[in-house]
Amino acid sequence: MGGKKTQITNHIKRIRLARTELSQAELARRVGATRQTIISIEAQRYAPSLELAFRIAHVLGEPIEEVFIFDATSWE
Amino acid sequence: MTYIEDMSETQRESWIVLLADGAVLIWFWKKMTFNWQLHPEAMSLGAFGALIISLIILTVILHAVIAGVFDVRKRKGEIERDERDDNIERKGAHAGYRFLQLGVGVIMFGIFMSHSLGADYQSPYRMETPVQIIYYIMIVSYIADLIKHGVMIHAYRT
Repeated sequence: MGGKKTQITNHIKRIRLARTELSQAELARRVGATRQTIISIEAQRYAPSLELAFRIAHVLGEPIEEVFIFDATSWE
Repeated sequence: MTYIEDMSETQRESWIVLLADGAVLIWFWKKMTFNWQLHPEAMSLGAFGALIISLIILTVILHAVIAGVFDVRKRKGEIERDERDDNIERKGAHAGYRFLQLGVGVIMFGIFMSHSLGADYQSPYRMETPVQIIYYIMIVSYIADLIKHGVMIHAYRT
């Protein structure tokens, strides 16, 4: 699958595995998304809406800027 | 490669609709043309009307069965659809609509040329009779639907 990467990178997988015991399916259920969407976000193939990004950060218990990083170098 | 078990329900539904509509289009095309040509064979309006009714019934039944099967498969408490599915569907619908717009434009141009130039219009794709015009509209509509689902499947894979 290796599609186009988004300019918004994230640490969801690292935080999810290191600080929580959430599976992709459980995280998906708790934020109101499908497991496929979480897989795409973790693989940096899909940039979630602001609302979904806040929900993910909330469920992971981290501030949004710790979870999502905007890669300005590839944009400028 | 995306395996069936890794696909979301909306992605699976898109695949099934693509295959079903593709099969219906091939069936209609085969009935209307000789030896897979693009231009329809001469046909009476009555026979063409019966074929169109069969096409509509077949399409409605297929879509109802597909929707019913996916409704039965819904699991309680599981999220089947989210913002990504909506975005992908919007992208597919946009591509399908653009093709439909282009196709209708080409058909209108064909009708205009066939009627204004008459016998001087030498194109093999003449659009003079209602059978020819409706046939091309149906073909364009089905291809637009296939493009919609094709774009959706591509978007799910990238």
